[in-house]
Amino acid sequence: MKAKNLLYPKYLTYPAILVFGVFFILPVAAAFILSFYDWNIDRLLTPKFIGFENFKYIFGDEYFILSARNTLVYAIITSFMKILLGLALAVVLNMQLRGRNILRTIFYLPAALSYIVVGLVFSSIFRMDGMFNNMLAGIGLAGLQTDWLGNGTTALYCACVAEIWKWSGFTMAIFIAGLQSISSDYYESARIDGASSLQQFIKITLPLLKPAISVNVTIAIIGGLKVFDSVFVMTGGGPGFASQVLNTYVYKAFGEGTLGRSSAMGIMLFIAIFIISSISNNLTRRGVE
Amino acid sequence: MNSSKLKTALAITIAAFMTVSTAACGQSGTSDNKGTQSQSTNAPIKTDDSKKALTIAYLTSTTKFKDVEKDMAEQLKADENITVEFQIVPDDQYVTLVKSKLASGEVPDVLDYNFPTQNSSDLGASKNMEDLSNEPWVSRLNNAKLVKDPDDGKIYALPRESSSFFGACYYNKKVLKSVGIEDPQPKTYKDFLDILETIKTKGNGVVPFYASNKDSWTTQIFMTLGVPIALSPNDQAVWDKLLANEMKWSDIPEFKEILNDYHDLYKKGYVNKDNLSATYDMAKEAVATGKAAMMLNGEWAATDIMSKWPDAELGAFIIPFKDKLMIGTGAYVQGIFVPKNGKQVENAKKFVNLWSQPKYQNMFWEKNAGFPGFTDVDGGDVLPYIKALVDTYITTGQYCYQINDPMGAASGSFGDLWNYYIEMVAGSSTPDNVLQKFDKKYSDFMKQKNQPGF
Repeated sequence: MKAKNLLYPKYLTYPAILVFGVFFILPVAAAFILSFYDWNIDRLLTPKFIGFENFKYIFGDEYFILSARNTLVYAIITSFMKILLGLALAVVLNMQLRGRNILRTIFYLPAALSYIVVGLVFSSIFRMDGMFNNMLAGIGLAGLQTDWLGNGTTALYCACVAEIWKWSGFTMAIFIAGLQSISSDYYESARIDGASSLQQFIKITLPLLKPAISVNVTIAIIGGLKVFDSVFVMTGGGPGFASQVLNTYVYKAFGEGTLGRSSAMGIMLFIAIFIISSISNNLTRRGVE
Repeated sequence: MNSSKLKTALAITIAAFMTVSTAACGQSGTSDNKGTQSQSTNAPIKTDDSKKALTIAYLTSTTKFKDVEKDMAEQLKADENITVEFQIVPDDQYVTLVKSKLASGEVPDVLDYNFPTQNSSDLGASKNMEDLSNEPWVSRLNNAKLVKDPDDGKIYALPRESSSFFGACYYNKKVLKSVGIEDPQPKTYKDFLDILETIKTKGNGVVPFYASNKDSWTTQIFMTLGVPIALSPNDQAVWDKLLANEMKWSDIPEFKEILNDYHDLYKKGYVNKDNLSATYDMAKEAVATGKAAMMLNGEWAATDIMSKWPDAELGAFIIPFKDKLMIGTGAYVQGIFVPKNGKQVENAKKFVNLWSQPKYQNMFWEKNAGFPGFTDVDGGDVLPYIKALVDTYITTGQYCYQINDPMGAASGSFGDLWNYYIEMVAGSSTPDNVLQKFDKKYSDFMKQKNQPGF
């Protein structure tokens, strides 16, 4: 170990620490401090300490609460579906299929697209005269047609669909890597013992995929809680405030020039991500080792 | 590693590479559309090198900047050896960016901003901007009264136009003709509703009144025009009381009436079903192509439509809110300010003076016909129905300023108000709720701004 340490002296980490410190630690620390200040764009150079006033305000703000709830709903739905679809795709594309590598690439491709493109595509799909409503009419369900992005109860879920479509291929790639690390000996032995495919999946695949599940759940939850692009492009947080999520609401508050408050909101989001991702990480990693 | 695994690894590597490269492309594209753009002029015209070279940093926003300004800058470079560096910022970031720059002292040589209504609230013009009242171009102004600061009477910016925002229903003539309506000029609010009802019943599915509520700035137009007209001639007294915190928004019955009128348009089925996800661009297309009969907006909507659909036949009429034949208009124009903390204030003033000259201004108005800010500038061929609005209402004094101008101090809180309107038309709120919620928002916002009385 000592020899290795000599080969890689500590000072080689300094540039990374510096970059991480300047672009992450420092802004978070500054935001934490400024969240206790009355700091407005009109009084940029004269912030005033006001204790917990910003936090009191945001917890009394019905739209902040709505944004937090929407963010949580978004994170839960997208995480669950990304894992479910990613796992299903991985299991299927881990089988001996002709052209499976091409299929893997195709399913992964949405992850390579920018959110602007994905948002615009799904906006046109969910338009009143878009593909989804036409499809409903085509299968005799015209009665279900609605303005999906303009409907307060469906707008957020449309953004979820875009997110799930974009990232399921990414979770699939991680699951495939996990599946390939499982020795075929286990399955061979199980087959000899008469285990069905379902039993093999539940008793062998799932337990041995725990490391991949843990990574995917953590990435998906953090990604879901940090949602901004898909909601901003597809609904702009609307109609009204119906699909506001925390990051779009922080962006709005920042635009109004209430910098102290938006810092407080940002800190709340940071704390939520830290707590929720820690819990999920602990739960999913149990028994991994 | 077997062949299959190798292929998989290769596919994932390629995909990962594409992620990075496409993300980079995405960022680049975003930057082109949304990020700050900097455009220097590369004049193909021969430059007069005998004059001292000068570079002016010009901060503007995507909507304020017009392509023809690049041609104007090229001409200026050729004539005066002055290079104009346009810094074009996305609209939604512009206010914040300008305020940050003014607060930190890192200012451009010149910048665009609406004035004079937002001189004080957004710019602190008396503190941060050069007084241009004694510049040589002032004697050539078309509407000097409008551009004077409401507090100290000084002129802090070079105006682009003499007046702007003629709020009216811009309609498709063919559509209205097809239902038997020609040259509609409703005299009462009921006349207006009758027009909409006729289009609804005889229009064969044509949307009578197109609303584009995804762009909430278009939603607000009905109220920002209608409320002051309903209050007229006492509108200014009401704004003064609101600004002094002597009354609440929910204490204005006329506001509630206008909100009810607007809500009724939706209840009566005059508005497109996809109004909550429809955009301003969709509205223009719908009117131009005859899918909708009309949209309520400013004159720029008609200009935009004519530039994209030159065959469209449009007309315009005002909505007679509370049976009053008045037009709602803006008390602002676009202006070029010279920040006091600029590195070359005198050179910036020289640029502003040159920019105001007919040689350059005529280039602008040739491409954007309208109402120039200077008496010796040709405004080009103004669309006849826009000219008719100006002749009928503006020049005769039959106009009222939109809410946003006298209440400019609260402009940062209006984004939420417009969203409350949308909640109302979406059915999740009522006119009373809108005003109650905005009372709370307004009070908090004004406190945040340290406004006296709050």
